[in-house]
Amino acid sequence: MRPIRLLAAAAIVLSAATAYAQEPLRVGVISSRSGPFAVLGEQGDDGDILAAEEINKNGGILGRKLELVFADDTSQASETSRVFRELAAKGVSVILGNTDNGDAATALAKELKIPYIAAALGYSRDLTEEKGHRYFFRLIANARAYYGPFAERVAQDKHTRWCTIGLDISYAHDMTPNVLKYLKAQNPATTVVDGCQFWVPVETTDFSPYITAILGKQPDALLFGGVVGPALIGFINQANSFGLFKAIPSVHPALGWPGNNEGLREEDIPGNIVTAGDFIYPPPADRPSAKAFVDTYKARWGALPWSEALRSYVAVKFVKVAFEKAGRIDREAFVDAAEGLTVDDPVQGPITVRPFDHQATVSVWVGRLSWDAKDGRPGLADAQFVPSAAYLPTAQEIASLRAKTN
Amino acid sequence: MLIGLQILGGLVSAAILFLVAAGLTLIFGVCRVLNLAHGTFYMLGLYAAYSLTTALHGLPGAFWLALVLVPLLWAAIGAVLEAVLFRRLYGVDVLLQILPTIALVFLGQDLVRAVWGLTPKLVSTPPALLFPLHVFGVIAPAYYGFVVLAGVVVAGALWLLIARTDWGLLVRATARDRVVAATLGVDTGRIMTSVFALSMALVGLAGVLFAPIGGASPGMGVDSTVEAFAVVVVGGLGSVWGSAVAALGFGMLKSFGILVAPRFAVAFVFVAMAAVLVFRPAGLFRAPE
Repeated sequence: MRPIRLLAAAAIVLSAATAYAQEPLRVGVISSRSGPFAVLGEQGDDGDILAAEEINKNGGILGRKLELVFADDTSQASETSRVFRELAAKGVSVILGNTDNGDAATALAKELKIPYIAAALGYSRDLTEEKGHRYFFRLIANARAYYGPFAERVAQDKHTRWCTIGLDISYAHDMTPNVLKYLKAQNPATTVVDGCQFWVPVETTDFSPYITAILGKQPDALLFGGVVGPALIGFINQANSFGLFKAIPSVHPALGWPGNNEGLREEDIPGNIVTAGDFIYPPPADRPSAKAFVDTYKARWGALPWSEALRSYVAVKFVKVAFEKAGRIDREAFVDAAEGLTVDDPVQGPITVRPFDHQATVSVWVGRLSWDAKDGRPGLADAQFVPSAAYLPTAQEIASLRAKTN
Repeated sequence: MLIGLQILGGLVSAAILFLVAAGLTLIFGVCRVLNLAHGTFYMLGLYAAYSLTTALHGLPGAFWLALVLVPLLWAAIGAVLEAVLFRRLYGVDVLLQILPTIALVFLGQDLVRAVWGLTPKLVSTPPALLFPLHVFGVIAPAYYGFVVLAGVVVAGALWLLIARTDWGLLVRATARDRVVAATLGVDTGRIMTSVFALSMALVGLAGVLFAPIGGASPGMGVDSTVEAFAVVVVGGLGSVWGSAVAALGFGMLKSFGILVAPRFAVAFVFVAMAAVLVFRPAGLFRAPE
């Protein structure tokens, strides 16, 4: 009798000590923790960690502990490919991307048949369209779903003669003509002033010659959406000192993203910049979960979250619900379960991963850049939530886009 | 209207470029060391201006205090750096000279990351200069006029210092031939320390002056080293006057290049550098004098 009782006692102690008897569930995270995207990559990682901690506190995924395996791609596409293979070799079930190098990642996801989720970054339109495939998912906004609502809002002001300025990077070269195209659809008289499209080298810190050139051309309005990253704050500062925004109404499709407007002070905000964002300050008052998320994040990391943190947080939660729906830890089963699956986004509300292109129905708010006195940071005034459904491509469009390239 | 604004924009770029390049070329001319970390100290100057002005938030004199304090502090750091590090690099192989300066670049970048983080910081324009200025028939921010004026004043002072003072004479002697100067009783070690301190003061000043225009962000150090290097090469390594002329030329080339071919405005600068290297390898102004 005694040995049996001892064994039983040991079993109880063991099962209590190791809550998770099985191997942990490993999820890879490719993140730009250094290089130009470092500040966004870190936000993404912080969101991932917060979500994983919450999941593990509540019993893990299918009784297994969730373990995040991080890899830094230093913001370089070649490193994205290298660490992708490394994570694959470590046997991760899914890979989350807090990196903008979606092209490199999607190619390997297809080759190695590992589900990859663009979680914090990876906005290139074609990733879910021409280049889309079974193993690529995007849980961040689709470019079309913020160019469209943004252009409609801008078109209300009936500007016709435009100047544009953007950094000489692929994002800006994609965004600028697309927004102009949407504007032209709203207002056919839309034109670009001759010689007033500026592509600025990425490392530029002194924008005064460009600002003076734009002032000299006297357009109706300025699209400066191609100016992103650290350059954006400097540009706004210099534009203010020349009174650019007072002279020329200016618009920027992504200045509502908290990561893009961080660093602006109350006195820097001219009040008439039309913009959009997928995570607004102040958080939407009609959604208590938004405030709760902001508070929880702030308690954990001592700072206010940006979009990248929220999106990554939601991506980890999505991984949980997908595996729970699949009922087992298996890559193919994950993909099958993920298609058409809905997950709760504390700020946006429920979002659904569309089965035919794996794009999540993340939407944006459009409004004016303003000062959010309550949170002590820039925010959006007159914010209007525009559901993405009407702007995302239909299943038919996706099919014809993919047929053309294959 | 257009031309006037373009000229002012070009002059502002030129003033900042000159202040950075003058230090780089002085250190090379006298100490014969190519200090790749020069731009890093420009970046740190921007952050120092940010920290000082935000720490003294509300005080109208905060910016002016930074304008005086940062160059003095930078001069002190320069003197220490020269005595501790750079003095050991004189006369050694070029590669060995450059490696420690590259190490300083990385150290500076990590320092910025650790202390100020990765998000860009803005610095307020001093309230006394927050009025529009009517110049060249256009309305421009008064602060830009102040930066141009500061550039001109410093260039003039530098000229007086080097061409008209005893110290300047010793600097020129050391630059021409250190060994001969030393045998004639010049304390070349002290001269080189003081040149280093002066160069650092100039780059610190450039940082504080540009802070209200461009704010401070990581990466500004390397970029400014590259631009200043082009200015120094065109002006002639070691020639302060060459740097002044080249900085003016570069500022204008960038400013007006944007009107002609916006996409290639920056390329113009480097095409000009290549042309100078081909036709006048020693730079526009033969150095050292």
